[in-house]
Amino acid sequence: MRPYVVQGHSRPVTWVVYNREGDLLVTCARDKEVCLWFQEDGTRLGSFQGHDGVVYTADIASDSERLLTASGDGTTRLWQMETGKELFEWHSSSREPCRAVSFAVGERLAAFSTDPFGNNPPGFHIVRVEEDMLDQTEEKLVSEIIQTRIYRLGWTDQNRVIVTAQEDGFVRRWDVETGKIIFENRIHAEQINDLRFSGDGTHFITGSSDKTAKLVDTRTLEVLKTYKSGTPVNAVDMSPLMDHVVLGGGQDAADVTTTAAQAGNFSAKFYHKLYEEEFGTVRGHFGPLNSVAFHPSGRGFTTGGEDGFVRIHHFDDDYFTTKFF
Amino acid sequence: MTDKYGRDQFVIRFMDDTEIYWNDGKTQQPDMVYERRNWTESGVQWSPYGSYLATLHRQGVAIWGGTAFKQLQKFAHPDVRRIDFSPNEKFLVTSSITKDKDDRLLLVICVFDVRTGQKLRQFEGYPEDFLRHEDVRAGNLVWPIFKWAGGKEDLFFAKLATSKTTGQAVISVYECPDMGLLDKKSLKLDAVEYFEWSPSEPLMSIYHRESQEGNIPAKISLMQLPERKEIRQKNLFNVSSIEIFWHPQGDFLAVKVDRHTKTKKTIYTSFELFCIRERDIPMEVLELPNKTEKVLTFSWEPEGHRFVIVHGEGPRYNVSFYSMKDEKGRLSVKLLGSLKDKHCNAIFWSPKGKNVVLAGLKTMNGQFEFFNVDFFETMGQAEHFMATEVEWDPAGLFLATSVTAVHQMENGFNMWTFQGRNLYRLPRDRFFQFSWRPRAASLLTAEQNEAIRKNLPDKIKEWDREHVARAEEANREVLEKRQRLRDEWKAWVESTAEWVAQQQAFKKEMMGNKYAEREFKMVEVTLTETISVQDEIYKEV
Repeated sequence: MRPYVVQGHSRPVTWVVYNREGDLLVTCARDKEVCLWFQEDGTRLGSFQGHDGVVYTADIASDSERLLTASGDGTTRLWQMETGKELFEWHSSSREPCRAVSFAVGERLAAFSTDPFGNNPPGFHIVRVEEDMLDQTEEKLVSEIIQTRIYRLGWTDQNRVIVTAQEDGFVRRWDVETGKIIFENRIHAEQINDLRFSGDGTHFITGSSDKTAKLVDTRTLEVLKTYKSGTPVNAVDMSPLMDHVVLGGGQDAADVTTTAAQAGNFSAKFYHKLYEEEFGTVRGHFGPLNSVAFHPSGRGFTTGGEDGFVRIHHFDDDYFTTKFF
Repeated sequence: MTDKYGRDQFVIRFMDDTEIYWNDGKTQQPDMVYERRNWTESGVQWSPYGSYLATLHRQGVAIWGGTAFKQLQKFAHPDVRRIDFSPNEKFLVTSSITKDKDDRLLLVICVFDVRTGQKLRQFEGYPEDFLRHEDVRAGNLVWPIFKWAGGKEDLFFAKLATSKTTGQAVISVYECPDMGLLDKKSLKLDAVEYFEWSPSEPLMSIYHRESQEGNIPAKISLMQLPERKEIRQKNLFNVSSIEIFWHPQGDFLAVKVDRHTKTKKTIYTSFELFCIRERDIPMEVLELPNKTEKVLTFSWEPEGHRFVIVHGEGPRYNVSFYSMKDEKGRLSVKLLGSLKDKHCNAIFWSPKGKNVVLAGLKTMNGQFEFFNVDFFETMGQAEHFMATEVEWDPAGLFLATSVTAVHQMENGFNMWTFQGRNLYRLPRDRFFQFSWRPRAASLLTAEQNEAIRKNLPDKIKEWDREHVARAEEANREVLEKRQRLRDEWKAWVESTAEWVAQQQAFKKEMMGNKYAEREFKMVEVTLTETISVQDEIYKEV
């Protein structure tokens, strides 16, 4: 089916994410706004206003009551999804931009990462998220200073471990209590731009500027599969329904010249998860793709691009019936 | 060459790897023959009949061959930059550019015997000793410096360089195998600008530019060696530049002449076409209907008598096909047809003639049109985005288009049939080179060829049966591989079961009643709304 092409942002879209039921969609962008959409028909429900800088990522609580956003304005904020009201904000120690954010299992803890800023090194922080906002404090349970910036992070192993995807091409497992590295693996030659977990959390997929995406074992950090793309990979996700993964990317926006839109190869590429073979592309954006997400049912996907557009796709029936292999 | 399926080989180079494959058109995939990391430091090159693969190293050149690509010979030449085989693979020319103690460029060129590895002669000198001083001044290092004469024997090679005594450009011809200057002296010729050997015999086409303020006109001459006999010449007036195109089998010679008007403001182009095989070498002149039109390229049909030119003012160009023969086989230049407004700026004839690929490279982003000149129809169109290189296989059945590392993205190559159907793609990051292995000369006589042609229908049936069997096998291999991958994955997923159960239990504990999927029911609601009621008389038909 033709995608819904929606424009709620005036600047490049940085992140798209569905809620657990898959009826809502949240998009973040460089224009300081966070938009909330009905995924079914692309109706805009509203926006979360308050950030004073690019919003890099967001995470939706599993009951869709709350939303976490990380922004370049040096804050990570908690919102009420239903009303769009800001509930709380955590500040980085000296205005370092916040990059990645993730709820822990149970949503009583959250982690966010901060970029280097001025002379301040990058870091990551773990905070408590209270049920009742009257109890909420800005205290950081862990605040660790590290070497290279974290682009994405996620919780695993009963909230005892955080997995990070970093600028130096490493994926690392960190002990939540001590804030120390348990072990690490350099899986990419260049920075890792995106990371998304499988439904059961046993593996995750990473996308890197080294033009590959990799499927990685969460526990051992061993690479299970490699997907080669001709262009830098900015965004990855895997289908919860089929053995498919999707890669988004394209020539770096800074390198895009005045040649045809095709030059950058701004498409979402579909690969078979196990065979590592490419079997389809979906074009449409005229800038690199910055984020891609599968619908939780696997019946659609959404992409957000440097061109500022969000494209909400619902698969046709033949996607499910065609034998691609 | 000895492949029972009659496939051709090619070599690719990317990152630090060099790989050689069979191109299997039937199973639509490449079949790896040999791979080696860090095989060469700056490049590989096939010899003209594909007997050897030469690799370049800091210390010199090595050649490899046989089914296992064993090292056959080494040629020491420090910092070698360029190499060149003689047309029959007997000799190898290597060259390097270094700087002497006064910081002047110093060229060292060696000629080796390929089989024995013996160095036969070493030339050493400054750029003027190997090039015209006009070229030296302009900084053009024209390669090859030594051009080999065509023919079945590697008899002569020649260079165009500056004479030490007169400062004029002179052609020096060297003789094989003793490597001495032919008759101990260079060719005494006036105002030589350029020369080119015929690919099939020791015949040299030489361009003399206008001299003495235009009092002596420019001239194209054909000189036979070793007799030094000028067998044909043609004076040309008001020439601003020329280009020489030899027919691949040496049957024809085309000279593209750009003339200027008296005011030197407008340039118009024409072609002087020599027919080498006829007595006295008759000549035809071709002028385009619109004389001032820009001509982009010219290309002879290999093993044929046709040629094609691309002309026009852009951004789209016209492609015109001509024949050197009329219906009765007499010599005359005849327009076969033109294609208008094509995205085409380069022409690639199939090595066997008949088919041609019109390519739009560079600013045209890699558009390809596969054209059959016999039926004058387009067989297929394709696009390989940003393609930089195009190469036909020796049989003219397949075309490889590649994007090399000059672009950052989408490196690798695509393989097409001669009809423009994509067979496979092989993406490789930092892709440097694609090169088909040339075939050895056929040992069959004309009669044997004819006999083979007669048996062809039976042979084709046999091949088809083989092909089906092989395709099935290849299919089975793929299916088996996939099954294996699926099994491995399943085993891996099962190995995580315990861990997953732990995580799920923890999740349940942490999230309490939020964990369960909230109940939801699909309810179908039918709404009936009466918009208006109207009475009408029912009429029977």
